[in-house]
Amino acid sequence: MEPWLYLPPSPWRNAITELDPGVLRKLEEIRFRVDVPVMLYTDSSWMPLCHQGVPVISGADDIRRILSILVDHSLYARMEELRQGYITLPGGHRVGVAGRAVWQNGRIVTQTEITGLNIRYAHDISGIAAPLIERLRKWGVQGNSWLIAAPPRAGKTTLLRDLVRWFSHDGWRVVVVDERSEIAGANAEHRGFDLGYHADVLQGWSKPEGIITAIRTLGPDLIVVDELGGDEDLAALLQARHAGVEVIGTLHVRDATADLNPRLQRLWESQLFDAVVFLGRNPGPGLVTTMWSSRGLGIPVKKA
Amino acid sequence: MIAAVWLGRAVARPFRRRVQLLDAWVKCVGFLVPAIVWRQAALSQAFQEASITYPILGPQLRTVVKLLATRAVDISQAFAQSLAEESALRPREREVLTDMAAKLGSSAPDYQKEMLRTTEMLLKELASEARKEDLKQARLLESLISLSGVALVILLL
Repeated sequence: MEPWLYLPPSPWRNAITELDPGVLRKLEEIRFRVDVPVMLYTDSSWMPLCHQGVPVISGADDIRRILSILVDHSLYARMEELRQGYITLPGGHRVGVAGRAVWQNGRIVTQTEITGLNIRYAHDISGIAAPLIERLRKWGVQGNSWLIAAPPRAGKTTLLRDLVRWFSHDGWRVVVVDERSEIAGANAEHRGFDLGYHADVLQGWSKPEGIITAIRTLGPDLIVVDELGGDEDLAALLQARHAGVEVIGTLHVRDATADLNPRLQRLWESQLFDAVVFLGRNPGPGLVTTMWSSRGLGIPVKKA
Repeated sequence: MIAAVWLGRAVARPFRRRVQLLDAWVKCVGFLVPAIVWRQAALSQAFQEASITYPILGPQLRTVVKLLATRAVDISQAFAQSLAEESALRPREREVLTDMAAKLGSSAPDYQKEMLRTTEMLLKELASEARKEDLKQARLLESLISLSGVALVILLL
Protein backbone atom coordinates (compact mmCIF):
# COMPACT_ATOMS: atom_id res chain seq x y z
CA MET A 1 0.00 0.00 0.00
CA GLU A 2 1.25 3.47 -0.83
CA PRO A 3 2.43 5.53 2.18
CA TRP A 4 -0.23 8.10 3.08
CA LEU A 5 2.11 11.04 2.54
CA TYR A 6 2.47 10.21 -1.12
CA LEU A 7 -1.26 10.08 -1.83
CA PRO A 8 -1.46 13.66 -3.18
CA PRO A 9 -0.31 14.01 -6.80
CA SER A 10 2.69 16.01 -7.99
CA PRO A 11 3.83 18.75 -7.42
CA TRP A 12 2.66 18.33 -3.79
CA ARG A 13 4.07 14.84 -3.66
CA ASN A 14 7.48 16.15 -4.80
CA ALA A 15 7.39 18.80 -2.10
CA ILE A 16 6.57 16.15 0.52
CA THR A 17 9.49 13.97 -0.62
CA GLU A 18 11.80 16.94 0.04
CA LEU A 19 10.85 16.97 3.73
CA ASP A 20 13.28 15.93 6.41
CA PRO A 21 12.66 12.29 7.50
CA GLY A 22 12.36 13.46 11.11
CA VAL A 23 9.50 15.77 10.14
CA LEU A 24 7.87 13.10 7.97
CA ARG A 25 7.72 10.70 10.92
CA LYS A 26 5.87 13.22 13.10
CA LEU A 27 3.37 14.41 10.49
CA GLU A 28 -0.29 13.90 11.30
CA GLU A 29 -2.15 16.09 8.84
CA ILE A 30 -1.76 17.84 5.52
CA ARG A 31 -4.26 20.66 4.97
CA PHE A 32 -4.99 22.16 1.59
CA ARG A 33 -6.96 25.42 1.59
CA VAL A 34 -7.77 27.53 -1.43
CA ASP A 35 -5.17 30.20 -2.20
CA VAL A 36 -3.14 29.82 0.98
CA PRO A 37 0.00 27.74 1.59
CA VAL A 38 -0.47 24.03 2.17
CA MET A 39 0.06 23.37 5.88
CA LEU A 40 1.62 20.37 7.60
CA TYR A 41 0.64 19.57 11.17
CA THR A 42 2.31 17.44 13.82
CA ASP A 43 0.61 16.87 17.20
CA SER A 44 2.21 20.02 18.56
CA SER A 45 3.29 22.26 15.68
CA TRP A 46 2.65 23.28 12.09
CA MET A 47 4.67 24.46 9.11
CA PRO A 48 4.00 25.37 5.47
CA LEU A 49 4.79 22.82 2.79
CA CYS A 50 7.65 24.17 0.65
CA HIS A 51 9.02 23.12 -2.72
CA GLN A 52 12.63 24.25 -3.21
CA GLY A 53 12.21 26.64 -0.31
CA VAL A 54 9.01 28.31 -1.60
CA PRO A 55 5.65 27.65 0.14
CA VAL A 56 3.31 25.64 -2.08
CA ILE A 57 -0.09 27.25 -2.64
CA SER A 58 -3.07 25.33 -3.98
CA GLY A 59 -5.87 26.97 -5.96
CA ALA A 60 -9.48 25.83 -6.35
CA ASP A 61 -8.65 23.84 -9.51
CA ASP A 62 -5.75 22.16 -7.71
CA ILE A 63 -8.01 21.12 -4.86
CA ARG A 64 -10.57 19.71 -7.31
CA ARG A 65 -7.80 17.78 -9.06
CA ILE A 66 -6.36 16.44 -5.80
CA LEU A 67 -9.81 15.29 -4.67
CA SER A 68 -10.48 13.62 -8.01
CA ILE A 69 -7.17 11.75 -7.85
CA LEU A 70 -7.67 10.80 -4.19
CA VAL A 71 -10.99 9.15 -5.05
CA ASP A 72 -9.57 7.39 -8.13
CA HIS A 73 -11.63 9.66 -10.41
CA SER A 74 -14.75 7.94 -9.06
CA LEU A 75 -16.66 10.55 -7.08
CA TYR A 76 -19.93 8.74 -7.81
CA ALA A 77 -18.76 5.95 -5.51
CA ARG A 78 -18.11 8.40 -2.66
CA MET A 79 -21.26 10.51 -2.66
CA GLU A 80 -22.44 9.38 0.77
CA GLU A 81 -19.03 10.03 2.31
CA LEU A 82 -18.79 13.40 0.58
CA ARG A 83 -22.25 14.27 1.84
CA GLN A 84 -20.99 13.62 5.36
CA GLY A 85 -17.89 15.72 4.77
CA TYR A 86 -15.10 13.18 4.43
CA ILE A 87 -13.50 10.60 2.17
CA THR A 88 -11.66 7.55 3.49
CA LEU A 89 -8.55 6.46 1.62
CA PRO A 90 -6.96 3.00 1.43
CA GLY A 91 -5.20 2.45 4.73
CA GLY A 92 -7.99 4.14 6.69
CA HIS A 93 -6.57 7.65 6.26
CA ARG A 94 -9.38 10.17 6.35
CA VAL A 95 -9.73 13.24 4.16
CA GLY A 96 -11.95 15.95 5.61
CA VAL A 97 -13.65 17.89 2.81
CA ALA A 98 -14.76 21.51 3.25
CA GLY A 99 -17.09 22.90 0.61
CA ARG A 100 -20.53 24.36 -0.03
CA ALA A 101 -23.41 22.07 0.81
CA VAL A 102 -25.90 21.24 -1.94
CA TRP A 103 -29.43 20.79 -0.58
CA GLN A 104 -32.25 18.80 -2.12
CA ASN A 105 -35.61 18.23 -0.44
CA GLY A 106 -34.32 19.55 2.86
CA ARG A 107 -31.30 17.27 2.92
CA ILE A 108 -27.63 17.77 2.05
CA VAL A 109 -26.93 15.61 -0.98
CA THR A 110 -23.33 16.53 -1.73
CA GLN A 111 -20.72 19.26 -1.54
CA THR A 112 -19.54 21.56 -4.27
CA GLU A 113 -17.01 24.42 -4.52
CA ILE A 114 -14.51 22.52 -2.41
CA THR A 115 -12.26 24.97 -0.56
CA GLY A 116 -10.34 22.71 1.77
CA LEU A 117 -8.99 19.20 2.17
CA ASN A 118 -7.50 17.78 5.34
CA ILE A 119 -5.61 14.51 4.86
CA ARG A 120 -5.26 12.86 8.24
CA TYR A 121 -2.97 9.95 9.03
CA ALA A 122 -4.54 6.81 10.45
CA HIS A 123 -2.24 5.51 13.15
CA ASP A 124 -1.81 1.81 13.63
CA ILE A 125 -0.13 1.01 16.93
CA SER A 126 0.02 -2.54 18.21
CA GLY A 127 0.16 -3.44 21.88
CA ILE A 128 -1.71 -0.51 23.41
CA ALA A 129 -4.87 -2.52 24.10
CA ALA A 130 -3.23 -5.25 26.19
CA PRO A 131 -2.26 -3.07 29.22
CA LEU A 132 -5.73 -1.49 29.21
CA ILE A 133 -7.49 -4.85 29.15
CA GLU A 134 -5.21 -6.11 31.91
CA ARG A 135 -5.97 -3.08 34.05
CA LEU A 136 -9.73 -3.32 33.53
CA ARG A 137 -9.71 -6.99 34.48
CA LYS A 138 -7.44 -6.39 37.46
CA TRP A 139 -9.94 -3.85 38.80
CA GLY A 140 -12.77 -6.31 38.56
CA VAL A 141 -14.57 -5.05 35.47
CA GLN A 142 -16.83 -7.92 34.50
CA GLY A 143 -17.77 -8.25 30.87
CA ASN A 144 -16.07 -6.91 27.81
CA SER A 145 -18.45 -4.16 26.72
CA TRP A 146 -16.56 -0.91 26.93
CA LEU A 147 -16.97 2.65 25.80
CA ILE A 148 -13.94 4.68 24.82
CA ALA A 149 -14.69 8.37 25.25
CA ALA A 150 -12.36 11.14 24.16
CA PRO A 151 -12.10 14.47 22.38
CA PRO A 152 -11.13 14.45 18.68
CA ARG A 153 -7.53 13.41 17.84
CA ALA A 154 -7.02 11.65 21.18
CA GLY A 155 -6.44 8.20 19.68
CA LYS A 156 -9.88 6.57 20.02
CA THR A 157 -9.82 4.81 16.66
CA THR A 158 -6.20 3.69 17.11
CA LEU A 159 -7.06 2.12 20.47
CA LEU A 160 -10.23 0.61 19.04
CA ARG A 161 -8.28 -0.98 16.17
CA ASP A 162 -5.82 -2.55 18.60
CA LEU A 163 -8.67 -3.82 20.78
CA VAL A 164 -10.16 -5.52 17.69
CA ARG A 165 -6.77 -7.07 16.97
CA TRP A 166 -6.34 -8.23 20.57
CA PHE A 167 -9.74 -9.93 20.79
CA SER A 168 -9.40 -11.39 17.30
CA HIS A 169 -5.97 -12.84 18.11
CA ASP A 170 -7.55 -14.23 21.28
CA GLY A 171 -10.03 -16.20 19.16
CA TRP A 172 -13.11 -14.01 19.62
CA ARG A 173 -15.35 -13.73 16.59
CA VAL A 174 -15.29 -9.98 16.11
CA VAL A 175 -17.48 -8.00 13.73
CA VAL A 176 -16.37 -4.45 13.00
CA VAL A 177 -19.15 -2.17 11.76
CA ASP A 178 -16.85 0.22 9.95
CA GLU A 179 -19.18 2.96 8.74
CA ARG A 180 -16.36 5.24 7.60
CA SER A 181 -13.89 2.51 6.59
CA GLU A 182 -11.41 3.87 9.14
CA ILE A 183 -10.97 0.96 11.52
CA ALA A 184 -10.03 -1.69 8.97
CA GLY A 185 -8.74 0.66 6.26
CA ALA A 186 -9.65 -1.96 3.67
CA ASN A 187 -10.58 -1.48 0.04
CA ALA A 188 -11.13 -3.73 -2.99
CA GLU A 189 -7.40 -4.29 -3.45
CA HIS A 190 -6.04 -4.30 0.10
CA ARG A 191 -7.13 -6.11 3.24
CA GLY A 192 -6.12 -3.03 5.23
CA PHE A 193 -4.84 -3.16 8.80
CA ASP A 194 -4.06 -6.45 10.48
CA LEU A 195 -7.18 -7.29 12.48
CA GLY A 196 -6.30 -10.93 13.12
CA TYR A 197 -7.91 -14.02 11.67
CA HIS A 198 -11.25 -13.78 13.47
CA ALA A 199 -12.50 -10.33 12.48
CA ASP A 200 -15.15 -9.59 9.84
CA VAL A 201 -15.63 -6.07 8.60
CA LEU A 202 -18.96 -4.57 7.51
CA GLN A 203 -17.64 -1.65 5.56
CA GLY A 204 -19.74 1.39 4.77
CA TRP A 205 -22.76 0.09 6.71
CA SER A 206 -24.65 2.46 8.94
CA LYS A 207 -24.16 1.46 12.57
CA PRO A 208 -27.75 0.36 13.33
CA GLU A 209 -28.08 -1.70 10.14
CA GLY A 210 -24.59 -3.13 10.47
CA ILE A 211 -25.12 -4.17 14.09
CA ILE A 212 -28.45 -5.89 13.33
CA THR A 213 -27.00 -7.63 10.25
CA ALA A 214 -23.99 -8.78 12.26
CA ILE A 215 -26.21 -10.30 14.94
CA ARG A 216 -28.40 -12.04 12.37
CA THR A 217 -25.80 -13.34 9.98
CA LEU A 218 -22.27 -13.32 11.34
CA GLY A 219 -22.65 -14.84 14.81
CA PRO A 220 -20.28 -12.45 16.60
CA ASP A 221 -18.93 -12.66 20.13
CA LEU A 222 -18.03 -8.99 19.98
CA ILE A 223 -19.27 -6.07 17.85
CA VAL A 224 -17.07 -3.01 17.50
CA VAL A 225 -18.30 0.38 16.30
CA ASP A 226 -16.71 3.80 16.05
CA GLU A 227 -18.23 7.18 16.95
CA LEU A 228 -21.59 6.36 18.48
CA GLY A 229 -24.27 8.91 17.81
CA GLY A 230 -28.05 8.86 17.89
CA ASP A 231 -30.81 6.84 19.50
CA GLU A 232 -30.80 4.30 16.66
CA ASP A 233 -27.20 3.36 17.48
CA LEU A 234 -28.14 2.92 21.12
CA ALA A 235 -31.19 0.77 20.27
CA ALA A 236 -29.11 -1.48 17.99
CA LEU A 237 -26.40 -1.86 20.63
CA LEU A 238 -29.02 -2.78 23.23
CA GLN A 239 -30.33 -5.42 20.86
CA ALA A 240 -26.82 -6.81 20.54
CA ARG A 241 -26.38 -6.88 24.31
CA HIS A 242 -29.73 -8.64 24.73
CA ALA A 243 -28.54 -11.19 22.16
CA GLY A 244 -25.54 -11.91 24.38
CA VAL A 245 -23.02 -10.10 22.22
CA GLU A 246 -20.37 -7.86 23.78
CA VAL A 247 -19.97 -4.37 22.28
CA ILE A 248 -17.12 -1.89 22.23
CA GLY A 249 -17.71 1.63 20.92
CA THR A 250 -16.26 5.12 20.94
CA LEU A 251 -17.80 8.48 21.68
CA HIS A 252 -16.67 12.07 21.17
CA VAL A 253 -16.67 13.86 24.54
CA ARG A 254 -14.88 16.89 25.92
CA ASP A 255 -14.12 15.49 29.36
CA ALA A 256 -15.18 12.89 31.87
CA THR A 257 -18.18 14.81 33.20
CA ALA A 258 -21.35 12.98 32.33
CA ASP A 259 -23.52 15.91 33.44
CA LEU A 260 -22.09 18.02 30.65
CA ASN A 261 -22.63 15.43 27.95
CA PRO A 262 -26.18 14.12 27.54
CA ARG A 263 -25.13 11.40 25.09
CA LEU A 264 -22.51 10.05 27.48
CA GLN A 265 -25.03 10.22 30.32
CA ARG A 266 -27.64 8.35 28.27
CA LEU A 267 -25.15 5.65 27.25
CA TRP A 268 -23.97 5.25 30.82
CA GLU A 269 -27.48 5.08 32.25
CA SER A 270 -28.49 2.50 29.66
CA GLN A 271 -26.06 0.10 31.38
CA LEU A 272 -24.85 -1.00 27.98
CA PHE A 273 -21.22 -0.79 28.93
CA ASP A 274 -19.28 -2.44 31.72
CA ALA A 275 -16.67 0.29 31.69
CA VAL A 276 -15.91 3.69 30.21
CA VAL A 277 -12.34 4.63 29.36
CA PHE A 278 -11.56 8.32 28.90
CA LEU A 279 -8.61 9.32 26.75
CA GLY A 280 -6.86 12.67 26.71
CA ARG A 281 -4.57 14.50 24.30
CA ASN A 282 -2.04 15.88 26.76
CA PRO A 283 0.86 15.27 26.85
CA GLY A 284 0.16 13.03 23.83
CA PRO A 285 -2.75 11.20 22.20
CA GLY A 286 -3.89 7.94 23.78
CA LEU A 287 -3.34 8.83 27.43
CA VAL A 288 -5.96 7.18 29.66
CA THR A 289 -7.19 9.94 31.99
CA THR A 290 -10.17 8.36 33.78
CA MET A 291 -11.96 5.02 33.89
CA TRP A 292 -15.41 4.19 35.18
CA SER A 293 -16.69 0.76 35.96
CA SER A 294 -20.32 -0.30 36.10
CA ARG A 295 -19.68 -1.66 39.59
CA GLY A 296 -19.24 1.91 40.76
CA LEU A 297 -15.48 1.70 40.84
CA GLY A 298 -13.38 4.65 39.92
CA ILE A 299 -10.35 2.84 38.55
CA PRO A 300 -7.09 4.57 39.42
CA VAL A 301 -5.02 5.71 36.48
CA LYS A 302 -1.45 6.91 36.31
CA LYS A 303 -1.40 10.68 36.04
CA ALA A 304 0.83 12.26 33.43
CA MET B 1 -5.10 -14.93 -56.89
CA ILE B 2 -4.93 -15.91 -53.24
CA ALA B 3 -2.33 -13.20 -52.67
CA ALA B 4 -4.55 -10.62 -54.37
CA VAL B 5 -7.53 -11.56 -52.22
CA TRP B 6 -5.34 -11.44 -49.10
CA LEU B 7 -3.97 -8.03 -50.11
CA GLY B 8 -7.50 -6.74 -50.71
CA ARG B 9 -8.55 -7.84 -47.27
CA ALA B 10 -5.44 -6.34 -45.69
CA VAL B 11 -6.08 -2.97 -47.32
CA ALA B 12 -9.72 -3.01 -46.24
CA ARG B 13 -8.87 -3.95 -42.61
CA PRO B 14 -8.65 -0.39 -41.18
CA PHE B 15 -12.15 0.35 -42.48
CA ARG B 16 -13.56 -2.76 -40.86
CA ARG B 17 -11.60 -2.02 -37.67
CA ARG B 18 -13.27 1.37 -37.30
CA VAL B 19 -16.69 -0.29 -37.31
CA GLN B 20 -15.55 -3.01 -34.93
CA LEU B 21 -14.09 -0.42 -32.56
CA LEU B 22 -17.22 1.69 -32.55
CA ASP B 23 -19.39 -1.37 -31.94
CA ALA B 24 -17.12 -2.36 -29.06
CA TRP B 25 -17.28 1.16 -27.58
CA VAL B 26 -21.10 1.07 -27.72
CA LYS B 27 -21.05 -2.19 -25.77
CA CYS B 28 -18.33 -0.96 -23.41
CA VAL B 29 -20.30 2.19 -22.51
CA GLY B 30 -23.32 -0.04 -21.87
CA PHE B 31 -21.09 -2.19 -19.65
CA LEU B 32 -19.97 0.88 -17.67
CA VAL B 33 -23.55 1.79 -16.69
CA PRO B 34 -24.10 -1.05 -14.18
CA ALA B 35 -20.44 -0.96 -13.11
CA ILE B 36 -20.71 2.71 -12.19
CA VAL B 37 -24.36 3.14 -11.24
CA TRP B 38 -25.15 -0.09 -9.41
CA ARG B 39 -21.85 -1.57 -8.29
CA GLN B 40 -20.15 1.80 -7.95
CA ALA B 41 -16.85 0.20 -8.86
CA ALA B 42 -13.87 2.54 -9.15
CA LEU B 43 -13.24 3.64 -12.74
CA SER B 44 -9.90 1.85 -12.97
CA GLN B 45 -11.54 -1.38 -11.89
CA ALA B 46 -14.43 -0.91 -14.34
CA PHE B 47 -11.99 -0.26 -17.20
CA GLN B 48 -9.92 -3.27 -16.23
CA GLU B 49 -13.00 -5.49 -16.37
CA ALA B 50 -14.12 -3.93 -19.66
CA SER B 51 -10.68 -4.55 -21.18
CA ILE B 52 -11.17 -8.27 -20.57
CA THR B 53 -14.77 -8.32 -21.83
CA TYR B 54 -13.98 -6.31 -24.99
CA PRO B 55 -10.49 -7.41 -26.09
CA ILE B 56 -10.46 -5.07 -29.10
CA LEU B 57 -10.47 -2.13 -26.62
CA GLY B 58 -8.01 -3.85 -24.28
CA PRO B 59 -4.87 -1.91 -25.24
CA GLN B 60 -6.64 1.48 -24.97
CA LEU B 61 -8.39 0.73 -21.69
CA ARG B 62 -5.23 -0.72 -20.16
CA THR B 63 -3.33 2.41 -21.17
CA VAL B 64 -5.98 4.54 -19.41
CA VAL B 65 -5.69 2.41 -16.26
CA LYS B 66 -1.90 2.65 -16.35
CA LEU B 67 -1.95 6.42 -16.82
CA LEU B 68 -4.47 6.92 -14.01
CA ALA B 69 -2.30 4.85 -11.69
CA THR B 70 0.52 7.38 -12.13
CA ARG B 71 -1.72 10.01 -10.43
CA ALA B 72 -0.19 12.52 -12.82
CA VAL B 73 -3.01 12.96 -15.36
CA ASP B 74 -6.74 13.45 -15.21
CA ILE B 75 -9.12 11.11 -16.92
CA SER B 76 -9.67 13.13 -20.10
CA GLN B 77 -5.89 13.42 -20.59
CA ALA B 78 -5.53 9.67 -20.06
CA PHE B 79 -8.28 8.99 -22.61
CA ALA B 80 -6.84 11.42 -25.15
CA GLN B 81 -3.42 9.76 -24.85
CA SER B 82 -4.80 6.25 -25.20
CA LEU B 83 -7.00 7.17 -28.20
CA ALA B 84 -4.01 8.76 -29.92
CA GLU B 85 -2.59 5.24 -30.27
CA GLU B 86 -5.63 4.16 -32.31
CA SER B 87 -5.57 5.44 -35.90
CA ALA B 88 -8.81 3.86 -37.12
CA LEU B 89 -11.12 6.34 -35.34
CA ARG B 90 -12.12 9.66 -36.89
CA PRO B 91 -11.90 13.05 -35.09
CA ARG B 92 -15.67 13.21 -34.40
CA GLU B 93 -15.58 9.73 -32.81
CA ARG B 94 -12.58 10.66 -30.65
CA GLU B 95 -14.38 13.83 -29.64
CA VAL B 96 -17.42 11.89 -28.41
CA LEU B 97 -15.19 9.59 -26.37
CA THR B 98 -13.05 12.36 -24.87
CA ASP B 99 -16.21 14.36 -24.03
CA MET B 100 -17.48 11.33 -22.16
CA ALA B 101 -14.12 10.97 -20.38
CA ALA B 102 -14.19 14.62 -19.27
CA LYS B 103 -17.46 13.98 -17.42
CA LEU B 104 -16.75 10.43 -16.30
CA GLY B 105 -16.55 9.90 -12.56
CA SER B 106 -17.21 13.50 -11.57
CA SER B 107 -20.87 13.41 -10.56
CA ALA B 108 -23.54 11.38 -8.78
CA PRO B 109 -24.49 7.96 -10.22
CA ASP B 110 -27.76 9.20 -11.76
CA TYR B 111 -25.99 11.91 -13.75
CA GLN B 112 -23.32 9.43 -14.77
CA LYS B 113 -26.03 7.09 -16.07
CA GLU B 114 -27.66 9.87 -18.07
CA MET B 115 -24.33 10.92 -19.54
CA LEU B 116 -23.34 7.35 -20.42
CA ARG B 117 -26.71 6.68 -22.08
CA THR B 118 -26.33 9.85 -24.19
CA THR B 119 -22.81 8.78 -25.20
CA GLU B 120 -24.07 5.32 -26.04
CA MET B 121 -26.72 6.79 -28.37
CA LEU B 122 -24.18 9.03 -30.08
CA LEU B 123 -21.78 6.12 -30.54
CA LYS B 124 -24.57 3.96 -31.94
CA GLU B 125 -25.34 6.61 -34.54
CA LEU B 126 -21.65 6.94 -35.41
CA ALA B 127 -21.28 3.16 -35.63
CA SER B 128 -24.30 2.89 -37.89
CA GLU B 129 -22.97 5.61 -40.22
CA ALA B 130 -19.53 4.02 -40.19
CA ARG B 131 -21.00 0.64 -40.99
CA LYS B 132 -22.81 1.95 -44.05
CA GLU B 133 -20.00 4.13 -45.31
CA ASP B 134 -16.91 2.12 -44.48
CA LEU B 135 -18.17 -1.32 -45.23
CA LYS B 136 -19.11 -0.07 -48.67
CA GLN B 137 -15.64 1.36 -49.16
CA ALA B 138 -13.98 -1.67 -47.65
CA ARG B 139 -15.90 -4.03 -49.94
CA LEU B 140 -15.17 -1.87 -52.95
CA LEU B 141 -11.47 -1.71 -52.16
CA GLU B 142 -11.31 -5.40 -51.42
CA SER B 143 -13.10 -6.27 -54.69
CA LEU B 144 -10.99 -3.88 -56.76
CA ILE B 145 -7.71 -5.23 -55.47
CA SER B 146 -8.88 -8.82 -55.76
CA LEU B 147 -10.06 -8.19 -59.34
CA SER B 148 -6.76 -6.47 -60.18
CA GLY B 149 -4.98 -9.54 -58.92
CA VAL B 150 -7.18 -11.78 -61.05
CA ALA B 151 -6.63 -9.52 -64.08
CA LEU B 152 -2.87 -9.63 -63.51
CA VAL B 153 -2.97 -13.41 -63.38
CA ILE B 154 -4.97 -13.57 -66.64
CA LEU B 155 -2.53 -11.16 -68.32
CA LEU B 156 0.45 -13.19 -67.16
CA LEU B 157 -1.13 -16.34 -68.58
